[in-house]
Amino acid sequence: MTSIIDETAPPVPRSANTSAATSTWLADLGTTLRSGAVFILLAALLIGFSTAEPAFANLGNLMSILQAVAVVAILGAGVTVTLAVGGFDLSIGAIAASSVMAASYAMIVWGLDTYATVPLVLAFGALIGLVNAFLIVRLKVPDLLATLSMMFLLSGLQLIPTAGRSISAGLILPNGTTASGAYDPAFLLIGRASLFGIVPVSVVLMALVAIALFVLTERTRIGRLLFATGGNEIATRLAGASTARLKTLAYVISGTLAALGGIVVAARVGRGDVSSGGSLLMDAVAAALIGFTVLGKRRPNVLGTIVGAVFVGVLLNGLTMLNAPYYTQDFVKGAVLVGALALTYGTGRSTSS
Amino acid sequence: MTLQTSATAPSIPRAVIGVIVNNALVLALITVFAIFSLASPTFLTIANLQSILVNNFTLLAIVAIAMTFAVSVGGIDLSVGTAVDFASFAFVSLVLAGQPVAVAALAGLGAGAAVGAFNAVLISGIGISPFLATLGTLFIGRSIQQLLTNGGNPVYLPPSGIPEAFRFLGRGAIAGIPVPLILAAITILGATVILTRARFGRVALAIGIQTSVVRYSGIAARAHVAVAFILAGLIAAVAGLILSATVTVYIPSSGSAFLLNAIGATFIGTTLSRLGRPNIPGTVLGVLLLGIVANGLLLTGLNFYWQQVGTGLLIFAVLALSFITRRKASA
Repeated sequence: MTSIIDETAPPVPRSANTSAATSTWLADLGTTLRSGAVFILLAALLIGFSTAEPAFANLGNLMSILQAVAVVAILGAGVTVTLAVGGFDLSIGAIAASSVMAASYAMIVWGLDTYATVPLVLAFGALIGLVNAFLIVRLKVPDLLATLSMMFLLSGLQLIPTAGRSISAGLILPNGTTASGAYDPAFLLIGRASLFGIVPVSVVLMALVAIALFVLTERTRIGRLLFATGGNEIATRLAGASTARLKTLAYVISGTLAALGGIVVAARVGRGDVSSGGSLLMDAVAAALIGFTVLGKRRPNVLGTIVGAVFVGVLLNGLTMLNAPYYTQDFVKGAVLVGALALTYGTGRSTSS
Repeated sequence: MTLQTSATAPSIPRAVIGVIVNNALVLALITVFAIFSLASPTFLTIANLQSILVNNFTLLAIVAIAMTFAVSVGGIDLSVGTAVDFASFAFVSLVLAGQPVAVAALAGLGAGAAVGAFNAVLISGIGISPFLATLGTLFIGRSIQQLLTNGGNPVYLPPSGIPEAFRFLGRGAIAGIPVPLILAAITILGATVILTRARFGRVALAIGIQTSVVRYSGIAARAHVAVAFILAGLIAAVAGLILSATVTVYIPSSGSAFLLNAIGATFIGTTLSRLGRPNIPGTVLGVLLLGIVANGLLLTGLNFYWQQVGTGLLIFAVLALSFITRRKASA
């Protein structure tokens, strides 16, 4: 199976063994610039957009940017964890979309309240992650293929309970009866309310996910073992770690976070829309990959993913404010992705292919 | 005596399992075929089998072969659909502008190859991994198409202004065989020759297995990877020409519909082949398998979304079967 991330790309620190002090100084500056490139660009964007359009810089707009990227950032954090173990989860977009449908179905058809729906949907995501892990770890199916077929499966399955209809209050079920339930107002708060009237709940969720996963991946033994599994699975196993459990953990986290993203989408939209979640996969992957360059890590890292998602969000919001047509958005995403990748892989590599 | 039986007894099931493993793909195809023949009376009719070849096979087979080239060098091409679209756009636009069909077709092939060349620069030139590079191309390509068409308006050819050669490419037939099918057959044959008989193919597959060995043998691995991606773009462009000639319209980003099925077919072919590496016959059988399932599920009167479930379950089943039989054979 092809590995997604070229592990042969080593982080090459500029060596300081050149005689001239000035060139070392320049090299250091270069390294600093490269590792901080995303932050410098982000600052430049913020200043540029604020001068071009004063409305850009107000707190409400900045919060709306964060709210817009919250779902992508949450999914991206999951992508980061699967990338860390050297895997890949193509099913996250479909899991998020199915979770939107599952949450709507639970509330509208089964009449459940928020406190039953949220755990149920999260458990659904975790279960899908577990199935992915079973296929990949136990049956040794290549990760891309296993999660690809899961994606197909979910995008079909999510339509079956309602025979392809979107779910909203008063839905007529395939057997002719009308659904009696409705969206729990408390559930809608997840997508629509703001803490202290300033910080949207979805942004708080994003921050909590970011902190929890940052601590897990960068500050704990499990986190180091996750990266070790991605770096060299056999060596990690021989060193006594259960790589099967680590990979399972990664896919379960990825599935659960995708379900959480779906809950946020459902709470914001307020209905189970069959077409939701279409671009989430690619956006989340892009955020995780842009994150490689942040702080010059050249590997998946949670903080970078969040910064990557915010970076794209700022760019898109600013361009929209400057009246750029909506269809320039994909171009911007693609250009940022390629630029970030060139920055990660292009510099400091001599031999490769 | 007892020794002899214990030595020979397990060898018979092992031989059976060996046959199953070596022909898993063909067996899967026969099974699916038999099931649908029993489930639907219209499945096993000449008209329906023709329809499978024309509607469910031709285009996907060509795109999946493009994908096979990218996979053979150890990569993947998420932008095959982009190459399909760019070829289709160039072809339809130039025919609409009154250019000869041959010129327009060449321009279309060039547009597809250009998408491949862009990938080649990112992958071989800069050193970005194929998955990430082609993901970027996919995003950028989608947006360029929207910019070119004012936000995604289709480019129609007026029914009166369709040249004969254009119509022939999409709807024509030679000796009763549809032209698109003939082009698909030529692509399959050409790709098989390149991958199995030409030096390029051997090097490409070697790169897919172990890049460093190829490089240490003094072969320019990067150049071969670049050629594989340009070929992928060029081959996908053939599908783009046929697609636009069949429907006489260019619809932005319509090519991305092939992406997941092309990946599925290529990996089914790779996983279930005897050698476990990308190969054209395996890919073609994979496309047939997906096509038969899609057609069969449609005929049994199930909703369109069951097709997706069916495709997913099929890939699961095929992979699980392949794994279980392989483990038994090696045990």
